[in-house]
Parts: sequence; structure tokens; C-alpha cells
Amino acid sequence: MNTDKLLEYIPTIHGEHGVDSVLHMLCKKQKSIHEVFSNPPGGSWTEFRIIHPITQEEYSWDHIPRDPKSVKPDNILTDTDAKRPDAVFQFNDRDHMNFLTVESKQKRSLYYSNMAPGLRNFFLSKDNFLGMKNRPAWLKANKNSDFDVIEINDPERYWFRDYEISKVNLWPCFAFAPTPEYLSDLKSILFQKFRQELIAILNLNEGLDLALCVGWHGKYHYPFVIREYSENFGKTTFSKELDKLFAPILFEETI
Amino acid sequence: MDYLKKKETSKFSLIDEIGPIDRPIYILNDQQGNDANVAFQLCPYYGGTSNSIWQNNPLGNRFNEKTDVILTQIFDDGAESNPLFAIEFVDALMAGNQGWQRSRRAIDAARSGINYLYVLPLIGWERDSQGLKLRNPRYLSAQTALAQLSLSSKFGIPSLQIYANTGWVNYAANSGKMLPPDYKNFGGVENAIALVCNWIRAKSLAKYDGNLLLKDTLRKIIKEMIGVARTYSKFSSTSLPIHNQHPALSPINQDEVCEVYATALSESKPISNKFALHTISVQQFLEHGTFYRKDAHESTTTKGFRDIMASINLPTISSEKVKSAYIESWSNGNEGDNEATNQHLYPRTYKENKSEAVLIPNRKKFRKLLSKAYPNLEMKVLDWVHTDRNDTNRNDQLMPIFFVPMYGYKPTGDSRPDRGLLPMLWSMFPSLMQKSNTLVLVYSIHTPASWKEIVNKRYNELWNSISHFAGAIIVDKTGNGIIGN
Repeated sequence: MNTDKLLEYIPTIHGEHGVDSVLHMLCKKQKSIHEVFSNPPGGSWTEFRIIHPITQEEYSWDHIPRDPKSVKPDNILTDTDAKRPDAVFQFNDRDHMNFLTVESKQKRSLYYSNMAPGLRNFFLSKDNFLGMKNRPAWLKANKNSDFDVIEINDPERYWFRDYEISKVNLWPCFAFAPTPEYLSDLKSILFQKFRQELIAILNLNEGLDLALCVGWHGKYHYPFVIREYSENFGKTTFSKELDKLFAPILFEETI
Repeated sequence: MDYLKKKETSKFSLIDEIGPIDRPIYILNDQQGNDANVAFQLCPYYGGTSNSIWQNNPLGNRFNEKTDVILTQIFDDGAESNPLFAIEFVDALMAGNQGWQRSRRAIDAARSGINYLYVLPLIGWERDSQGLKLRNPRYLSAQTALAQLSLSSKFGIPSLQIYANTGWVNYAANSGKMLPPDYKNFGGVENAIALVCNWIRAKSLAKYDGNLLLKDTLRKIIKEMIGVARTYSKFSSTSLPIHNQHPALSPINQDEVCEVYATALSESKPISNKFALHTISVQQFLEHGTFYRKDAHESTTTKGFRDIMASINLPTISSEKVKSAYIESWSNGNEGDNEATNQHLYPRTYKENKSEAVLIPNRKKFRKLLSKAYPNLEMKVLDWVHTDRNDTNRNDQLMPIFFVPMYGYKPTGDSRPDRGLLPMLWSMFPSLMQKSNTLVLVYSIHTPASWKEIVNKRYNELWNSISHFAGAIIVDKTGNGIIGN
């Protein structure tokens, strides 16, 4: 079977959708990190699925509003606004829940102030927008992996709200495609240039814990990722697991 | 790909995955195709509808909006086929005008000869804005099911709904909420898998005789769609009297209807017998339609609009005397007119209580209403409705006005769901809703004053949708209008 024609079927632009697709598909390849939410393709606009760290049961929050009402136009956020992420990934480290909340953009220059607080507030806010941690779950997976409605009066619906906040870690992340997003040859990558951009973003000290640069290279536009972590995040088991997730396409400069 | 990977139903077996991680190529073995291998590449984003980021644009010249999935075939020379099918996945609540938001994609698919599936939950449940409390169940829309059945009937191309099972289905059943009969036996996604695999095999295999399986699956889906249409057109707020008496929806004819539609769609032929849903005529509409009602709020409309609606609406509380007076008000006032004559002149609609559109046979009276409501309305628009010239031949040949008052705009911008309203209405009544007799009145006070420029520049999909279907457009806020091209 000659699949070259398919391999040669390449888009002229990857952009933000490409960044989202790379992260989504990487997550599908492994099992230790769970995808809570992503934009289509492969995800739903309105559903979050979270795994209880103790029971390992999966719960669904469906019909989540598409935009928190408190977000201003043009992504001008205050530090109390909530911003809906483009993707959320979960890693449970024993009884500690870790959520990687991702805002993805086509390019670095689309970063905006208060991105990290906005992503956190999407989970924690109690003001204009009731954050995810404060909302009751409505459905729970059964043995057949279908979801059943949890009875209205069942306190189980509020398990996430009632989960100790000290055991819920939110890790805001900004992911973007580099400029240019495509490189013919990875050897020519200006690794340090892209890496410095990631460090500069984290050094803004606006609360981001991860910065990812997702680009493409080679004849068939294979993706690559360069990542930088905050000091705090880098110490976590989650960061090690995340590196395993990125491993198939992680680009690290060899000395 | 999740459909294809369900080996028990699809009979495709994944044997390899190659290529970039974000655009993988899946190699599948076809257990029903003499163990032939088929390769599928995931291309996870389109770009725009007109400016594709791919070397071929699967949407171009076919779709005005992006569907979630399109499958095309790549040939050995790199050329790309027309789409084999398109699929739209929805998990949004079918609340209010959400139901018809995507109707344009269904029409575009049908007109382009593309098989189309609309996958949506069998039932949903609304919450408050904070997700703390349940409100009401949100049922499927009988109108959109009928619209797609009508498209299938007209074009002989499958335009089908697939009802996905969710946790809310059992909850609804246990709460005594209405579900279609036999919902427990709905095939749901399994039907969709069977269909798409059949369509793929029909293209990829030199010899494939899947007609029996295709017809069987189509029969099941048509039965489910008719069940949904029949069930949800019984509510007082969504009762559809014209369709409820149509032979295609009669329970007595169910098996025969399913057979006729399945055969026609498997042979790509329109329906031409009494079960054809796309041939509802003016006469049938007037005979079986009902009185029209639509709200007109002071906060969002002009007095002129409210005066028009007051004349077209039958008052909510209507005695026989009031009804008679209403019918009389729509007469031509000619001596010798009797009630039977006047019966065909008053406005009718297809839905009990609040409705989205109305057929107005008395174009002369309608012109007077418009002229009084909008003193500055262009003469050519008024003449389009009814000419005062003594041209009885022309006037006699004119179809009733298909009048669609459309909200169109919220304070934040145009209402995306309303882009699908006219496509849905046209899908339901393609024989009587034509450009030559369709008038759209956009009545939101948030409608931009520059609306004519927006129409001409064609960059706004709400106005593109309106322009495509309407022969004449009036805007309430500005009191002016245009004739369509």
C-alpha cells in the first residue's frame, strides 16, 4: 500500500488548531495522564471529565458554558476574570490532583496578561463565574463506561467541591506555535531562540507554570515540542510524566 | 476514527498507525473486503470555508459552514474525490433556536449530493447558569427531523439524524418525561457506524454488495426519525398540524414509509409518491395549517412591526367571533366573497402557538400593512409584494408570501442559530418557499444600520443565509428594504 500521497497531504498552516491537535493526540497515546477537556476534533465544546484520585471513578460535568460571562472581549482579563482553557489534562499523584490547564495560540505574541489567573479562576472562581471546582458533577461512569445521572440529592455530586483545596494543584500553561511554525530541518532549529522565548514568558512572573512551543519539521511536517517548566512544576512527579507524554516529539538540544 | 475502530460493528481492524502524531495515517484491515487494507488519514482542521489550508478544499463550492467531519478519497495520482459523506456532531442542548442552527450544512450536503449525518443526544437537560440546579428537559426538535427527512425525500440523498444515548435518557424515562416509542431499541451510533462503513466499502472495494445492509440500516434510521418527529410534534407548543396529517407520519403507514425511503435513498432517487415530504403544496399548507402567533415585544421592536404582527397574529384568547372577525379582516372586501373564499386569504402557519414563519395569501392587504408600518419603505419592495397596477394575471399567478420575521441580532452581534432558520424552513417546505415569494423581516433593534452594506459585501453568514433564501428583505429598525438578486 502506497501511503506517500497521504503523507504528502500537508496543510499550509498548522496554527493554534495544530497545537491543540498535537497535545490531544499525544495524550491519547498514553494512559497515565487523563484528558479532562479539549476542543474538537476529539473533544467536546461543553464537557469536562475528571477522575476521582481515590476511587478512580470518572465523573462528567456536561453543558459547561462555552464562555465564562466575565471574560471581556479581545481577551483583556483582570486578575479576577475566568478564562476557559483550550485543553485540560489531569494527573493524579496518589490523593493529589494535578490539572494542566492550557491556553493555546497561533503565536507567542498573542500572549496576554492575566492568562494564568484566568485559567485558575476557571476552576476556582466563586464570583461572576462559578468555577469548575465549585460545580456539582451530574454524571458518573458505570461499569460499561457509559454515564449515568447522579441523583440530585446525592452529596456525591459535590465531591470535587469538597475535595481539600491543598490537594488540588492547578498548573497554567501557555502553548503556541513558533514563528516560523515550520522548519525544513530540525538541525537548523534555533533551539535557544525558542527556548529563550519560553523562559521569557515564565519570567514574566504572571503565574504560568509551563510554556510550550509546538512546531513542525521535515518533509512530512512532523511536530516537535520544546518545553519549559517553572521551578515548582519541575519538581513534581507530574512533570516527569508529562515529559514521557512529550517524549515522542520532545526536542531538547544535545550538547 | 472511533467509529472505524469499533471492530465488532465496523468489521475494520486497526493494524498500523504511521505518520505525524497530529495527522496520523491509520491502516485498517477490512474483514468484509477480502482482507483488503484501507488507509485513513486524520486531517484535524480545515482552515476557512473559502480559503482552505489544504491542497484541495473539501468544503469549497459545497459548504457555507464547516461540518465536523468530511471523508474524501485520495487516488493514486493524488487527486481527491468529492466527499463520501459529512458528519456533524452536537452535544449542545436543543434549546430554543439551537435546534436549527446547523440546518444550512444539511442543505449544502443534500444539494451537493453528499450523504449527511447529524449526530445529537436523544435528550438533554437544561441547568441554571451555574450548573447547580436542573431546569427542564430539552427535547429533540420535530422540525429539524422533518426538515432532514424532507431533504432526503427531495434529493434522494441521505440526510439523517443519529440519536446518541446519554445518561439523561434513563433519567428522563425514570422521571416520566416523553421519549420516542421504542427508544430503548434505537440503534444510535451503531447505525452511524454501519452506514459510514457501507459508504466507505462501496468506494474502496471493486466489488461490494452492501445494498441489503444499507437498506436495513436506512430503514432503522428513518423509523427512528419518524418516531422522533411524531413524538415531539405532539406538544402544544410544537404541534405541527400539516405534518401530523401527512401520510408519511401516519402510524399505519410506518413500515411502508420506511421501506420507500430506504429504497429511494439506497438508489439515490427522490421520493415521488404520497410519502414525499418535500412536496407539501400551498393548497395543503392553507388547508391544514393553523392560525399564526408570534410575540412582538415593545423593548425590541418598533411600533410598525408590532402593528403588522397585531394584524397577522390571531389573538391568544379567541372566541369564534374573534376568529371570524380575523378571517373577515383578511378578505378582499369584494361583494360576493363568502366565507369559503375568505378561508384561503387569511395567514396560516405550520406550527401551533408561536411559529417562525407564516404564509400570507392576501398580498394586497400585506402590502398595505407594510406601507403603513414603514412609510419610507422602497416602492420596489412594496411592488414586489403586490403591485397596485391592474395586472390581475400577475397577481393571480403569485404564490402567497412566505413571511419570516427574524430576530437576527442580540446586543453582542448576530444570532448564530438564526443562520439556520431559513435553511430549516426551506428544507421543510421547498415547494412553496421560493425566492420569488419569501420575505424576511429582521426585527431586532440591534440590527446594524449598515445592514445593506453587510449584505452587499457578503462577509456575514447571517445575511448571506438571508440573502440566499429571501426575495425581499426589510429591516424593522431602519424601515427600509431591498429586493434580492
